[in-house]
Amino acid sequence: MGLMCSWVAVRGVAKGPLLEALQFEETGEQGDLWKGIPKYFCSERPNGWTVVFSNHFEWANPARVLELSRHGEAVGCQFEDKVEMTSLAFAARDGEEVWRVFHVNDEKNSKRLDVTGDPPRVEELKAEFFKLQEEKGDAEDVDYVHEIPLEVAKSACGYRLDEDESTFHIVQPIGGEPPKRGFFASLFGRR
Amino acid sequence: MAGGQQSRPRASGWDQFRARVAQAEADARRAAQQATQTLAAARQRVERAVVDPRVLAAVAPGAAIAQIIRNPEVKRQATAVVRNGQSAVQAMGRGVVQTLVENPLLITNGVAAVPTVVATNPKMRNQALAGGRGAQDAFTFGLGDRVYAGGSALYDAASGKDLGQAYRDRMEIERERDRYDAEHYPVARTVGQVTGTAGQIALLSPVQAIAGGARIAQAAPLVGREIMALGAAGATAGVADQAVSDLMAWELGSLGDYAGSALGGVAGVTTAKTGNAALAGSVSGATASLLQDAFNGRPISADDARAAALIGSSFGALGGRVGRKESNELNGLQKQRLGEWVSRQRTFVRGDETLPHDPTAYKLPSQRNTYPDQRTRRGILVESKFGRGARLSRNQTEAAETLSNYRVDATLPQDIGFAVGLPVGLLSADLWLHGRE
Repeated sequence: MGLMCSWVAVRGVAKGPLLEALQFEETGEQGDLWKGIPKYFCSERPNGWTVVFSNHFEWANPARVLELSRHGEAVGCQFEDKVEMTSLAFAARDGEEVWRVFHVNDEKNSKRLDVTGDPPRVEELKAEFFKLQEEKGDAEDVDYVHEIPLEVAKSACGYRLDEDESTFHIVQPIGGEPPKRGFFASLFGRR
Repeated sequence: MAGGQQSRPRASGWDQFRARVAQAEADARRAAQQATQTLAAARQRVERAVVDPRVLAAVAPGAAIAQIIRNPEVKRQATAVVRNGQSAVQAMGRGVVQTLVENPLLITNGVAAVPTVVATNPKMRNQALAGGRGAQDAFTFGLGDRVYAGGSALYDAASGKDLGQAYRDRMEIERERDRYDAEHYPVARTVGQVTGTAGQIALLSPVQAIAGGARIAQAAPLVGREIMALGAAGATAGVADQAVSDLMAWELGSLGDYAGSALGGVAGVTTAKTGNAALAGSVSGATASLLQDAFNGRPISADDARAAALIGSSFGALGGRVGRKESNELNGLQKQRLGEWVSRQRTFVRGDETLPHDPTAYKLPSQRNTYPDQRTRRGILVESKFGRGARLSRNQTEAAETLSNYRVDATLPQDIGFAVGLPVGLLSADLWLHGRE
């Protein structure tokens, strides 16, 4: 399992009510973020944000972030670096979108970045990473623009997966997880 | 050679080559008879023991392969065919040297002198014309002659001739010219026909022009074991395709058929780097045809090889298109799993083993973490990518630059297209070759 995951951070609500809103329960265990699919992890941050992480790319989608924003300010992030270098950062408050930053490696445009609203530091990050992309990214088959949504999300709530060493607690949907699908079922199943 | 001089007798190398080919054909026919008798006896035993045709299909290729490996006479004949092929190449080389000696302009001016030499040398000019007519015949499936005859007949009719009779007369002229070329310039005509067929095959490649793309620079190249495994996969596809064509015809192919198809599959795999399934189908079809002729003691037919190449290319292109399109249209999770599956196969072929548990974060010099997809028993960290849009992230780039045990596998839709198109192309060629017998 590689980097094809998502997380949502909420401020202004305690962990218990947040998990209840998600219909999750704590298992009492701590664990690494990469063991098995799907798995959910939760961490209360010192800066007041609570992060819920999933190994599933689709989990923390904008619809879920909008729903959770009714409980407090919410930031969501989806990213994968396996197929198209997709990264999305999304913020919402009181059920309404505040800003959004989206990147996918479009073959015709390696610097594609869709921005709505006023995400924090986005112009500064664009200048930095677009320059890197022009100077060496295109020539070396590296996608630096992919970093921008991740850095924007970090600016908003202080969390970035690959720079974080804090402890996460395993949580699970109330009633247990759905059964794991086999390889061919997932490969040739519903698209 | 200046005009007006008598043409020289054929080079001695050419006569020697023809004699060696005739000897090899006689030897191959004897060996094929022995192999056929042995295989017929084995087939009777299998047919008595097996009821399910699927089991028969599984056993027959295995028995054929065993015969290939164990029969010293077949191995000796295969070696003789290869040696005769080498002699033919040497004879052609001597012919080229002789041509250069007779036409020193080619030495001093190289390729630029070819038009001058051809224009001033009647023998070479006639060969070039024969080659051109052969190319036109092949490229147009013989319709070029009809078009030319029809146009000329219209001119004749305008001069007062009966149109129908004029067309028949013109077509007879074209056929007579083809017969003359085949008799007096067989090599030039064949080379022209091959060129024409190559032109048709080139037109087929764009059929699969979907989801192509370049592999990222950091992708790990194939190592020797992987290349050998690809060759074995090609051979297996060739044997399987021959078995399927036998099943569909309900007739067991000969040992030479299986050997030819297996080696056809290996030849097709040599084009893997291009990702072009049409090319793979054409190479495998032509190779299978030529080798099946040689191993079965038949005169080697260039026409059959050309036809098999074209059929293999056509269906290879279609299979390639399907493979590319379907894999490209998978969703992100499916593509990720497909890429990881390919990585597991590569690890296995390299003699290593993918560990069952997902690896944890790996600390980089920058103090950021990278999360490889797989870890192997030998400690290799594998990053799997799938698709034209996959690139390395900043962290993955740092890992590739700083970790000696980091491997990037980048699979593209064209790889899936090739894997689908090659066996489909070779199967179609095998079915056609079966039908011609």
